[in-house]
Order: sequence, then structure tokens, then C-alpha cells
Amino acid sequence: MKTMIKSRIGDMWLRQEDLAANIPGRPDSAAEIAVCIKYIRDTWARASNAVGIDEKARNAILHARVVGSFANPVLVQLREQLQQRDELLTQQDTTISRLLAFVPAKALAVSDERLQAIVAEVGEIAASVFKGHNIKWSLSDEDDPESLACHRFTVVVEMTDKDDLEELVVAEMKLREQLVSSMSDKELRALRILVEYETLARA
Amino acid sequence: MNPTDNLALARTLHDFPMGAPKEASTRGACGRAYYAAFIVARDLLVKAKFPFQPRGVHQRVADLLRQSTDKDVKARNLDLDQLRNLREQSDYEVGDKTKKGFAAGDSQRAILLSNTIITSFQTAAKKDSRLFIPAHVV
Repeated sequence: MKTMIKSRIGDMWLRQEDLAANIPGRPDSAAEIAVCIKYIRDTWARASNAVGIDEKARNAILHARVVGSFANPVLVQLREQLQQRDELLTQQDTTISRLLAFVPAKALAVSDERLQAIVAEVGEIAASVFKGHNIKWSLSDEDDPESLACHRFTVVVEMTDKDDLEELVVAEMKLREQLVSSMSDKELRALRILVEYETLARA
Repeated sequence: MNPTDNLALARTLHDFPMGAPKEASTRGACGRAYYAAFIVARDLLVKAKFPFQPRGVHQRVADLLRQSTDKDVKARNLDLDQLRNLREQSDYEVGDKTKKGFAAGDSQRAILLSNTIITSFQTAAKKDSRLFIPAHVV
């Protein structure tokens, strides 16, 4: 499974591999990308884990500026350091925003344990609705940039020319009806479940 | 144009209009079937005053419908995702990127899915114009 890192934009998650991917047209060096990943992991994670830290830091900076305006040299120096840090943060933010424009947002990955439980459940429902058909399945990362899902579960149903396609389509719709009852909204967002028919399409 | 005309066109393509290349007709039918269902869903949501940005409309439609409290709407939203996948395969996995051939069964499946999705969304909208998407969702 690919590594997920949380962005500060809404409830979105990003794949570290997508962020570091060599995307044509993106001018950033590998070192710059590595710095940004470290920044997202460390600074954003700290900010989101400790509520109020950002506010306190901002207040401290403001206070230091006020005191600094009356100023002895040490405070002036401190103010300059804070200003430099602010500039660095702004610069890193700009780089990160530019990087993010190239990276598709993803829903939070489902835990391995839950994923295995869902896989078992889907397998069971599929066996029931496609009774009499041989069924295979596969689990992979969802690489479609237009999908929020980060996992793809594909159910492959083997069929013959004698099978009634309409009955199979009704069965696959039943499968999805049962899934919406057993999976949460977050899981439905993170996991894309697709059905394919093995002998349906012929060249 | 009524978006369901796309479904009518999908049916015409599925029946292989005279002189039209067969696989291209089948693939074209999958695309039209998807857009018929997708546009019906989008228009219902727009009519219910959900705001849309010019970009990311497919994701926005899927995201809203997923939050419906009506299980049929939720399930048909998954059908719509399946149909979108079929449409992507039919439109993009061609030429050098062909992974599988498309046959009449694929377009028949797309038409059946599209028809069910449209009927379900329209029926839900008659009962609740927001398609049972809770009031806190905007």
C-alpha cells in the first residue's frame, strides 16, 4: 500500500509517491520535493495534532514585535529572526501549494485490518448474488487521478455466451445495494468496487 | 437538449447503425450511456441548489450522492461510478492502449445501468428534491 500523508486542505489525504512523482512540466528538484514532504509531515502534523499551538505562536510573534519596536538590540535581532522564519514559511508554503496543484487528492486509506474484512464480505456477497458463476477478485491501489478512492477492489465474474446479461447486471446492482448497507460513507469514498465480466468482451 | 437523448443515442449505436464501425459504435454507446446518467444527476443536484465549481464536477456529483441517506440513491451512485469506469475504458483504452476489445455486451450493460440510474435518481428527486442529501451538506 502506498504511503498516505495528510494535507491541511479539508479532509484530504495525499500519496507521498504522487507528491514525489516525476510529473512533466513540474520544475521542482527532488531535494525541494523532499524538503516539502518533510515540512508537510512535521509542521502540518504538529499543527493539526496540537490545537491552539498556531494561535499561541502567532501571539508570541506579535508580542515580540511590539516589544521589539521599543527595542534593545537583542529584541531587534529576535524580531529579525522571526521575520526570517516567517519569510521561510511563506516561501515553503508557496512551493507546497505549487506542488499540490499537480497532486490528486485522495480519501483516507482504509486500515489493512478493515480492508481485509471488507474484502471477505464483498467476496461473500458476490458469491451469493453471482451464484453459479466462477468469481475472482483483486485488490490494488486506485490510480485514477479523477477518483478520490485510494483502493480498487475488482470482482471478476466469469460468464459464458449462454448467460443472460440482464440477470448479471441486476446481480451486480444487488451487490452494490448490499455494500451501501455494510460500508460507511468514508469507506465507500476510499474504496472503489468494480465488477468485470471475463468473457463478455471479445476483440 | 434533453440529457436522456444521450441514452437514446446509446441505444441507436448499440444496434449498429448501417455502415458504422461496430466496435466504435459499441464504445460510443458506453460513453453516451454514461453521460446521459451523469448529466441527469448533475442537473437534479443543480436544481436542488447545490453549488458547483467549473472543475471537478464528476467528483462533486459522486461526493454529494454518496452522502444521501437513501440507500437506493447511494447504490445507484456506485453504479454510476462503474459506468464511468466503463466509459473511461471505452474512450481511452483504444489504439496503442487497448487492453480489451469491446463487444455488444458492454454497451448493453452500459445502457441497462444508465437506464436504472436515471429512473432511480428521478424517482428519488420526486420524493425529495435534494435526493435525500442531508441539510447540513452544501
